[in-house]
Amino acid sequence: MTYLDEFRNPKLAKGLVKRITKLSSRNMKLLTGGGGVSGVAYRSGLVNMLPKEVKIIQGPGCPRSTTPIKLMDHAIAISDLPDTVVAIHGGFATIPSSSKSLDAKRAEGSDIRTANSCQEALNIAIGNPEKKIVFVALGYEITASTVASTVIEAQRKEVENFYVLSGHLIFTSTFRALLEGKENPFDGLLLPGPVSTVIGSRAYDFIAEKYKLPCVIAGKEICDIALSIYMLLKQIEEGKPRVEIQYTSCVKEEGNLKARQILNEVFEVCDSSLRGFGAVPKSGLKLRQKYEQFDAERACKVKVETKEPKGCICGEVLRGVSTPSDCPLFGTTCNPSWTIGPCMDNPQGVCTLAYHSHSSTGLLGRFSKLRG
Amino acid sequence: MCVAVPAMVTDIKGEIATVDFGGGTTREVNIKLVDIKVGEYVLVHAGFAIATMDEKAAKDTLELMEKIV
Amino acid sequence: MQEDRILLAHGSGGKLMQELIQTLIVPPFKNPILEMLDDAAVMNLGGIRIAYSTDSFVVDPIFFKGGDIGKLAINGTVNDLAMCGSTPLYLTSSMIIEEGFPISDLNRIILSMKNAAEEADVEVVGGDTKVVNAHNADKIFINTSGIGVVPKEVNISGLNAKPGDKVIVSGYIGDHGISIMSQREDLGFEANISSDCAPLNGLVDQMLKTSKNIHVLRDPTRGGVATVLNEIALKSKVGIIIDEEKIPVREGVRVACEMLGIDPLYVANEGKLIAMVDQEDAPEILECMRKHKYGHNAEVIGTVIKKPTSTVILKTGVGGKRIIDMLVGEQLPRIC
Repeated sequence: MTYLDEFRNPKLAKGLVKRITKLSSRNMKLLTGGGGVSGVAYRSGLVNMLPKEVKIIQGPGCPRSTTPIKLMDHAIAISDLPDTVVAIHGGFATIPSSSKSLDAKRAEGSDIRTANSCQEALNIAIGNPEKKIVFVALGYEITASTVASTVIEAQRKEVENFYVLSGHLIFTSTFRALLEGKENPFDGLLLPGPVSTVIGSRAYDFIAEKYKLPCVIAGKEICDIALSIYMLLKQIEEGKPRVEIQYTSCVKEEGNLKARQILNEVFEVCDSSLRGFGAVPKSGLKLRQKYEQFDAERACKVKVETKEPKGCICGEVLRGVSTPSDCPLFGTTCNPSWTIGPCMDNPQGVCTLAYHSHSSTGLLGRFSKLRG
Repeated sequence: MCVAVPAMVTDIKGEIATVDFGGGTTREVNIKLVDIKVGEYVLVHAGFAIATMDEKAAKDTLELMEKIV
Repeated sequence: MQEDRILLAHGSGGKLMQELIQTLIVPPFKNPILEMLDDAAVMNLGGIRIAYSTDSFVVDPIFFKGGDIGKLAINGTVNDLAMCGSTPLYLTSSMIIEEGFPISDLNRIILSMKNAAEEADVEVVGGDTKVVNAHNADKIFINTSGIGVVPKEVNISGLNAKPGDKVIVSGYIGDHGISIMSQREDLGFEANISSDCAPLNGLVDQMLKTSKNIHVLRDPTRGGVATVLNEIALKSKVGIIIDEEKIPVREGVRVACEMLGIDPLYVANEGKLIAMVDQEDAPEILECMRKHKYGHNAEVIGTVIKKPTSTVILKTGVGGKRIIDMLVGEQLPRIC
């Protein structure tokens, strides 16, 4: 069992698609929680094997897209401080801020280094005691738990030059914000597996209970996603919305209790904002007082100026009320080579995927159509 | 990040385990967030093992897929 | 260009680099030979067609499984010359060396270059050496330039792909990039993959003896197979459709790519070529390639189509389709 190949079986995937086609009696909009699920659906070609009644709409799950622009502005401001290294996951260095990305700042001479994990950032700090190392911590509880573990280690090792700029978000807050906004034309939710391994399926119960939306927590491979879509359609047919786990090999109702306990030891819930939704109560994670010596906001006093780029409608696209082609910047000023908004910066962002699907054959044209 | 990949634990030294992704690709991961034994599979994310993989559950899922199809 | 400074992505072989070349570098030097932008420039000198190419090597680490910066430097230019169908003959080698670089390492690199030149049957006839202060260059950078002669009957260019042509890859893709990545400490993983660094002129020679209908040859270095296919599709104004199932990828590379979250189609190669050949001749060419040391695992991976133009489409393992774009950002700096 490799947990990969078996779930990529083309025969199985095609068979599941056939069953999905039999179940799809009317137009259905299935929202995904971020780029993981829709990325696989797109890359594998599953998206255009599905019957046209079943539309996969990419939701606001991916932290690259939902991280508030202010966080990146903060990181940019910190990068101007003397004897300070900003460490960030390689793939996040291009996330646009109000002015420029960290990638562009590095080209101007700021000391910005790649740290593909918080642990790597801690190692940079240990190896460079004369500098302040600030790790830009993005992502949901899955990544936050790894950061929490590293902060505990930093305290144990008495590292004094290591800091965390927390942009961590509570994953379910994106759905709370989306569904409370009454913009809810969706028939079901395909939730991502990895973050759910930590937070557990019970975290989503409120979606089924309060908003009567069927939910399935999907694995990462094509057969997982196909089965999850099937399970969702079944729920829709039965009219009994609930939270089901398709990714049973590693998602439990209670999640990963050990990880959650470590997360809770280091972080506490706070108010934050989500790109596209504005201020959302109880949507963020900040370091507890016990670990405040690692808090970059406290240690690095900087002025942060934030403004949304003109014309960018990432917010509406993330909420699913506009499509990429509705955006005046899409494909022109904002394109994969030069991104204005996070939806295009993200390689699995809804605008990136739509950009690559635009062709004269209309190959994947219906990928992100919401209206009609 | 969405990157979370399954790998088999081949060696454990304290908080660090060596995991094998197959095809000769290995790396070290921190196992503080899980309880794990050599020979078991974990999901790897950002240098940590963040979940253990239940082989029986995976097999049951495959069986379910076969049944549906 | 929207950037005001050079970014690492400008050197990645992908879209930003293309933009840099097209908007900043080509226009001032404007001439028909340059505008071809093939792997080597081909000039007519008194009835003889001379191919001329240059390449710089900044790979980190400088010694790696399967080669080193020296071997890369020789084979890189040999291959660029071979990709226009020329017989590579003479190379020069310029080095920029950081103060403090160990002489023993320099010896090792030069010996490696000597061996590579012998295998490729080329001579190093000139060069230059510069030393810069410590920290003003990272260990050593090498530039090689080379010339070759293009036989009269050979006409290979990025403009020549025709609908119906078969797309052949000479072997496993992604070996070099993954090998380098696994030997970079900051990525923290190990993979049992060696760089595929190799001279391709011998293979090309055999292919040209087999068929006169080879239209395009390219070696997919930085940016990988995906980027090269996009370049050809754009230049020849054609479409290309490739079959995921047919693309040869080693298990170790596939797994490492999974783990890193990257696509093997974008990973650098240093000993592979892509050929677009007349469909009638494809089986014979494939057979000839498979007999050669550097073509054992050659496969037909796709077809050139009329429309949609300038587009590369991948038929996925489950029968779906998606568009393969050029590499946009940079996967990893200093891989070649």
